[in-house]
Amino acid sequence: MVTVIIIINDFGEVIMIQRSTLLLFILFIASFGAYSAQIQAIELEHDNGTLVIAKTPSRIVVLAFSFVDALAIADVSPVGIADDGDINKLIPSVRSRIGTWHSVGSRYQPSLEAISSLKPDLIIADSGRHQSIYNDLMAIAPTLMFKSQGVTYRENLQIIQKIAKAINKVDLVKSRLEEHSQLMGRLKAKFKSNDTFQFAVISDKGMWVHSPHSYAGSVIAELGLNSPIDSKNKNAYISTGFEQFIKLNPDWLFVGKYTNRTVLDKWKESPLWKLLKINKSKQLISVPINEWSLASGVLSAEKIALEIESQIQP
Amino acid sequence: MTLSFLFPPKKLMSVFILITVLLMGFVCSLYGQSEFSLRVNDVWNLFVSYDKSNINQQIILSLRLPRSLTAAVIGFNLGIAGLLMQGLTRNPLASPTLFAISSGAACLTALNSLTVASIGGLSNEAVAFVGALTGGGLVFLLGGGLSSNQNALRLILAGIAINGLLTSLTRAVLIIADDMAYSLLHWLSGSLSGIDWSSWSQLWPLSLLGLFIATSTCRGLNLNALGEQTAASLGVNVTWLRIRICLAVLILTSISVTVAGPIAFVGLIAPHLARSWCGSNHFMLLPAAGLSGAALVCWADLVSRNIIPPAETPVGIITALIGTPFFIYLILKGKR
Repeated sequence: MVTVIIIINDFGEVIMIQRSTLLLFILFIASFGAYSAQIQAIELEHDNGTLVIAKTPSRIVVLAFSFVDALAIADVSPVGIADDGDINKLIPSVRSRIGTWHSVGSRYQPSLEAISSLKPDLIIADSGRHQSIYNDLMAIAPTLMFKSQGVTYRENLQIIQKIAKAINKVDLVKSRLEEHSQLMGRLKAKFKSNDTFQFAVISDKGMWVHSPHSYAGSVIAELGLNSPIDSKNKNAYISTGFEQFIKLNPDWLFVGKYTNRTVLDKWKESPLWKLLKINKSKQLISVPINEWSLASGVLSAEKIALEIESQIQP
Repeated sequence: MTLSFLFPPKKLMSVFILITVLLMGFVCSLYGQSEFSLRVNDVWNLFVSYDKSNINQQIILSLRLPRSLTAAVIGFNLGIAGLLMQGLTRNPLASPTLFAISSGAACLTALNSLTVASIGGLSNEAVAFVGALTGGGLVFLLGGGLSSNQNALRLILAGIAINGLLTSLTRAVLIIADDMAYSLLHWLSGSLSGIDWSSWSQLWPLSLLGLFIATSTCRGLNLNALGEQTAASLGVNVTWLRIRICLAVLILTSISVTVAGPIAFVGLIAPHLARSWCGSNHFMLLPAAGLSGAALVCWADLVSRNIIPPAETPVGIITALIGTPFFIYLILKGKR
């Protein structure tokens, strides 16, 4: 038996439609509505202007570690990462939140062929390192350019929110950032110290202290801890000889080592080493360089903060 | 009579002026641009009334003095090595860089940092020295150093080829080890910031040996300037002279690069400065080129600390900034 539905329109005309046809029509309209919500284009400001993202990306390639962190807190796994061919460069807390990925080469010189083969629908690149290949990347997929190398904690929070918008995870990321903010606030309230705290990377070739204009330095500053570096110095990474280090004379020194034997081993043999506060207090702490220097994300900032907490109040 | 011929009073005056300039640079670098407000009095007191508890004196004694001494000796070594290279090739644009010593040291150091070519637990200094000797040795052998049929052009071509190879390898390493590149680049630019007394201990014995060998080549170089055949006809064993020159260049440059990284252009500039003051007699030129190089590096080190204090700019960048226009000047002068 065929069911007929009678509809009278605004003009008084009578329209008779079969019920199955009407159901199909309603289904069509509903699916179109859902589709139009999906393709609602997003306009995003980034370092190279404005990028229009037509639909929520599902195959994302990232060319810097800080962006992997930004995706990890949104529970999104990138399909490709410029990981320098070494998965251990991604910190464990980030690695555990994302699925498997394909390496697209080094951050310095990612392979365009490898990126292209992954058929990405979004690329997130470092505006410092990848400016020269921006047009090539754009030819592969829409590319967002943000600062990663030399980014500060506050700058990175802004970038994370933009990435969240691009991947349609604004609410999830917002709640994760609130959780993060609470942790940082709790630790800041807990750390009431007049001591000076310094992070430096060291190798056999020298020491580079990370000022409050670097990522690790700005996390330390965010926690309300003092830096021994003159506030007039706006450089993020400062090459520091022993003489300059004696002048800095921090109460706490966190070091990330690139090599087993470092300049600190030489400096320790000098009679001037005795003048340092870290010699007296033994507040010289070796920390994972990937977490403190390479990662530059929310998860690494939490690791830095918790490491400081564990050292100050063991 | 002979002495006044070899060391004319006018030329001796030039050497005296050079020593004065060097001493001024040396003393200024002992107390200049410091976070500790060091003064010239601190330098004076260090030598006349040493006080162990005085921090300024300790800084000068432990950090500044070895650094300035090292700067002076490295400049001296590179100046002499440059003179020997120019004398050997009879080419005013030759410098120790030609011997691929710097690029050899840089390449092996970079490879070692990446643990690609970890050399049996050797220290970084030892690795750099092995790299320097390897680079220099390859050029020496390929350039016909041991051949009786010598050709300066062959040596230059061998230098260009080996330099190209080693530089490419170093660049590849820097790209692969991106996160370590910053620390390597600092050293590769030539830096004196990590110098201490242990660096000085490594430097001076080999420098003395190199200087001794270099001094023995003065007469031969004077005659070689007339052409190898003329020198040979005047009794110079040209092959033996060439071996001694290459050995001296190898030792003087290798140890300098090992201690401070490749400091560019000193070996090119210093011999020309010396020649303009002291003429072409290698008995005068040798100390003059050494002193010019020493003064140049001492002053360049002082300038490098003053560019963006308290951070240090690698001294090699300063010498390159001075050297590049000087190089262009030499080319233009050659054209005229």
